[in-house]
Amino acid sequence: MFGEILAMRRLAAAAVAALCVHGTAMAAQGDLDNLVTARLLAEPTALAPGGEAWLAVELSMKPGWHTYWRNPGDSGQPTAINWILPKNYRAGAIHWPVPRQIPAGIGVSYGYADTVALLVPLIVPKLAQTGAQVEIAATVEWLVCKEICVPGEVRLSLKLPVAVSAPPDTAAKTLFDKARAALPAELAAPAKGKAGESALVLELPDETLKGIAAPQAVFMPFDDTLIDHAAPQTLKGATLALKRGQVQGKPPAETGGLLLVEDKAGGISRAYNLSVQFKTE
Amino acid sequence: MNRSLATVSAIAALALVAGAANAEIKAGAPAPEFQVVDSTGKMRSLGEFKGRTVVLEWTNNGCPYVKKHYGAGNMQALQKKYTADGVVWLSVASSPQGEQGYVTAEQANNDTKTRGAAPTAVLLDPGSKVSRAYDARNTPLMVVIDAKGTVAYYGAIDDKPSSNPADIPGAKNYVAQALDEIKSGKPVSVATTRAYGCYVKYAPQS
Repeated sequence: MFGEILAMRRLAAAAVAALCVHGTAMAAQGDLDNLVTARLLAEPTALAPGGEAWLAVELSMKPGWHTYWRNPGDSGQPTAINWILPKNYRAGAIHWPVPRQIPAGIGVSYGYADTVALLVPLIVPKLAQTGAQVEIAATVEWLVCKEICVPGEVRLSLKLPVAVSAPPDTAAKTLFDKARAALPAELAAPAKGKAGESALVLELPDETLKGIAAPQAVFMPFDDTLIDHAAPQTLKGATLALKRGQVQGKPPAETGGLLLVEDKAGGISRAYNLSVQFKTE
Repeated sequence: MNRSLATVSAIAALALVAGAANAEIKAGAPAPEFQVVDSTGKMRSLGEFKGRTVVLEWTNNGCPYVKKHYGAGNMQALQKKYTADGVVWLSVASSPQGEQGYVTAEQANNDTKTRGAAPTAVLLDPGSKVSRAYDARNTPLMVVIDAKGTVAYYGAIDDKPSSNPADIPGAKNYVAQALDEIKSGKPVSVATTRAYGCYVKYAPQS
């Protein structure tokens, strides 16, 4: 049993007021209901004192609609989770699955279509009382867009017992295994990069390109000011050239992001959590 | 993590979308010229306002981020304060017909009246000419051009990238800051930021 409960969902009042005022492309109000269905899920069936448990906020978007990654790109807003936890419980950062690039006018955004599970580790205090039932809750805020954008928010909660051990839920394990498989792989060491006034050059680690006959790559930074998200990224050998973003000034000494490497012929797609150390030219 | 592709490569699909390079707008560089009709039917250009500070404000009346500022009276207050001081404020309605934010001249004037806005003019840009010239990707996008015609500020209206009006009072307003610094002869301390908001819809390039 997941132990998840669906909560009432409400649209931000401003978003509802935005409908059906001007223009011929306005959707009927009913079309904008339930653009996102949100669930709060837990992997284990009980919380072990002093242990860690995986939680997921799962968002299911209506076809054609998307929510955003931690760096939304040129437009949009990342999904935010505000946890409401019992005393001494802590939630870690969101582990974001690999997003896709989404054209947005002349810009590019990073986000998710269909369903996405945002994984969060829950740290259970050592002194959690076994036998007790605890409530884990969160308010989740998102922006969901197709041609228009609609902000949304929901409060989700679930109850779990505290126990030293508990039988696993195979359905939960399947869902969480799938979500973990969608996370980027870790790399052993940071990559080196060179930062110029208008360009950035990354030296991609050999392991990221290994075994790919005709590789192409995209770097999606965590920092939304670093690059021009819409500019083409050119891979020559192991060197990836990027165009710097609007916001100028000294680039950071070290930055992070997601490296997506694919074979032009298809069949291979790999994603890595990439740390880059810059040398300023 | 190794997974086989179920759909067309995301990278390849995007390479098809990225056509000609976008315009490059740099703080300190000359602001691009434009010629576009406003909501009174008059042809306006940047050159018309030579010698004056100009604010360009990209708008889309359905975008939650634009509604945040207009709903709270924030945008109108900025327009009133700075136009009273001689600043030229040009709202840019840049959605093509059929897209959210598209307004006819009559609708634009009606919007101005009903929400108590006070721009110098509302530029009608359904052909996306001004947007292309300025690489506009968001509503709201704010551009401040000094009296010499140089881009003095380009980016977000403030430092709280949300659609929540409760975030306005505590936010640092980059436009007000730039305009105040220009007025007192100081250098603009924050010249470029990442604009936030809905993406600007574009007419096909002609």
